[in-house]
Amino acid sequence: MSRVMHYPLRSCAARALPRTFCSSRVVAIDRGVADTASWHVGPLTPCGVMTATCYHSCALIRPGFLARRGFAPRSLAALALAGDGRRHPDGIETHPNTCPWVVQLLTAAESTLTAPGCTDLIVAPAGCDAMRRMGDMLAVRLGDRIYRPWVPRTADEAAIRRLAKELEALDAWLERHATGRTAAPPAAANPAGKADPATTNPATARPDTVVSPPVEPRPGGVFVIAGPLSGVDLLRAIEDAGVPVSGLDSCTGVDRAAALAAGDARLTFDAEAREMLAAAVCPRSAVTLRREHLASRIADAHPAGLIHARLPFCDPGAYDGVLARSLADELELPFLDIEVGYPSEVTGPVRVRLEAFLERLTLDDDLLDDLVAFDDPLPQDLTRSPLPTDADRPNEVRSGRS
Amino acid sequence: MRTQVRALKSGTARKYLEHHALTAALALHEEGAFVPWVSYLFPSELLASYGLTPLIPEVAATTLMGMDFREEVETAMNRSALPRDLCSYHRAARAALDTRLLPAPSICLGTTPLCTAKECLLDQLAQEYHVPFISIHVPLPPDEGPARPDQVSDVAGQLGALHERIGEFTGRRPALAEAMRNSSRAARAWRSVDEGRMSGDLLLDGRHMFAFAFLGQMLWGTVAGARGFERLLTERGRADLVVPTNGSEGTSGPRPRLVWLHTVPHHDDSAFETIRAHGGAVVFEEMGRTHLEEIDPADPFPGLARRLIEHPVWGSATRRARLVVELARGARADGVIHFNHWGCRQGLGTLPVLRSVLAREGIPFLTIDGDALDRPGGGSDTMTARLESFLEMLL
Repeated sequence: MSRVMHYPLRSCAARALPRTFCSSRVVAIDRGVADTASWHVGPLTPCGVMTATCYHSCALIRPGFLARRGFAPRSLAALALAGDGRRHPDGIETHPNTCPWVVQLLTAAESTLTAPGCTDLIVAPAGCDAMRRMGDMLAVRLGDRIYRPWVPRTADEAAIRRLAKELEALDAWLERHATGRTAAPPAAANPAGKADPATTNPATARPDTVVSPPVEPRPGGVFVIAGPLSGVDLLRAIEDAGVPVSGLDSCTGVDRAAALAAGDARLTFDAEAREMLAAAVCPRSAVTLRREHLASRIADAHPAGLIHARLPFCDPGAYDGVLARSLADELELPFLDIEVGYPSEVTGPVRVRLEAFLERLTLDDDLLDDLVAFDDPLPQDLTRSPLPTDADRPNEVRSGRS
Repeated sequence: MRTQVRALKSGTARKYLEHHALTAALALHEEGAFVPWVSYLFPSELLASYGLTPLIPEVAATTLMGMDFREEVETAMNRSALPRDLCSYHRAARAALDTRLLPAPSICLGTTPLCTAKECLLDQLAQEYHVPFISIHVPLPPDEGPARPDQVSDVAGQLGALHERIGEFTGRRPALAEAMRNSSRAARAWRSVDEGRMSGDLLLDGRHMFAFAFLGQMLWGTVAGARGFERLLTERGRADLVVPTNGSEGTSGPRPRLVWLHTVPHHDDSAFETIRAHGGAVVFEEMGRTHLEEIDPADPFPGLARRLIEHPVWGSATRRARLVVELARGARADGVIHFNHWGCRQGLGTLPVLRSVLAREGIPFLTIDGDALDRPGGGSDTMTARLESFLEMLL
């Protein structure tokens, strides 16, 4: 049975661990140079040996695929969120017009994976231009320890064949790097395709980087379409304003993670490619594919409004916003487009826009319902909004409202 | 008419190409015209084979922003749902289409190079206008050496299938061999000029040569394109492309000699004026380092595929840096300037690698931020100050 081990790199406790634990890290600590990452998290095999980690950037590749050769798959976002987000003075300096998600992942990868003695790997799918270039930057520092597969935008047969070839090459790369390392426990103990054991939060049984609505999604609220989110701040702000979240489609959302986690541990490359392209429909996907995906998710959620949260300097996100707007128009749903950074804090201006939009939604239901004629007396049960209001939640602390 | 008169009067390749590109572009506005919106690197020969002219968003946006339509396009850009941090070429093209300054697409044709954003744009336009979107998947070339045979074969297959499909879609008869012969004539001339510039026999202004190649992208495979490029072979034909000597006759030429990377500010000449004022010149431009090989008209697809895969700005940042070093050495450049075009993620993302590789090679390197579609005089004071410091350092 694998266990999850957490220990601070700077801690003396790390030295007390047997050498077989995380060889690269312990060597680095002994040399007094492992001061760039605050935490290392890795699974232990039954014999107590730390396995090598294979990080991944965007949620485009099934973590289970990375586990096929015994590596512990881990999202780079977990490193980014655990770190302080500050670039090392000698680190890679990106242009200010670079998407903050890429900058954060790059900083995290650079500070951890370039530490002397570190032999961990990283798989960075070339999802968008910025992420492709992040891979290029890291390749200069990491050499063959980074793999940059190309993930097609479409999911047709030709695209599946191409991705299958990429996956075959990726598998060969993983196998090459696995040689001489301790393999992670096989499928029974560390089932490929299940939640990332390296970052699983025992309380939620989900990887910590996966975002889900803080309250069970309910119809009649807003459906949120977003790129990568670092947490639930945005969703909580919506709930705090008295409007339920009806659904979430995010690069780091729970549905995407679940879709990528599903599947058999030992699929053929073709089947893997097919599953991955079906599961990872994101803002960079072909418009037809993305439209179908979003339309279906929105239809299932029955929302009363649509919010698109875009990362600044994100090209696919920008075009996804246009698509979301057109879907909202078709479905006659109120629409709000906002910009949220990474980490995704809800700043004052965003909160103001958000609340104005949400108030409009509740106003629609309270006062502008065209089923009710203005001159008719309102029946008692129609005077209340179907949406929860402050009165429904008198004891809830409404933190952070301006 | 004005461009025709200018072309006839000057007899230069540049005016000739401008006239024919503009005439072809105007024909796209005619009733019933077939308008292929295509990626900048889409092989125009496949369209020339059917007598079609490509509408390249970047070229179209640049042309409109240099005309009286600028105000209208800018107003539409400000109203657009597309955020301002996006590539301004794409925002402007989209805005121009929304205001009917550009004709609606009949088909959208993409290529994975050079950026994902342009693929998103073309794909979305195709959806909105209910026309097909077909994209050529171009694999990344290896960092060293030529494209692998399997890569070439894969792309060649896609190009062949797409060429056939365009025929089915338009109902026209192809004349690909003739288009490829025209393309080869142009490529022969272009290579000859390139060799002359590399050897030092020809000193042509990289800023104008960029504009020439940029516009020429519309005419590869046409007779006008072949003739335009061939005009570069005569002294008269390239008269408005040579670097002004500014009293440097008898010396070793302008100093510093610079290589320009990525695109240029098309309508704002301030950076180039600063360079000229310091006695320097842009002697080479990165984007012109393509179309240097003739392609076999009898079997064109592998050649076209190789040209796409091996484009100097496609591939990894390491590959780009290697090619830039080779270019800077070959052109005996004193320094390299990268124009950070607003919103271009693929270009900006290579900067850290370029910076470190050029520093290691001892080649001075400057990056300047700007927008390729800036108004004349739109360059910031910071940019000018940085450029001046760089030039003074090189002297």
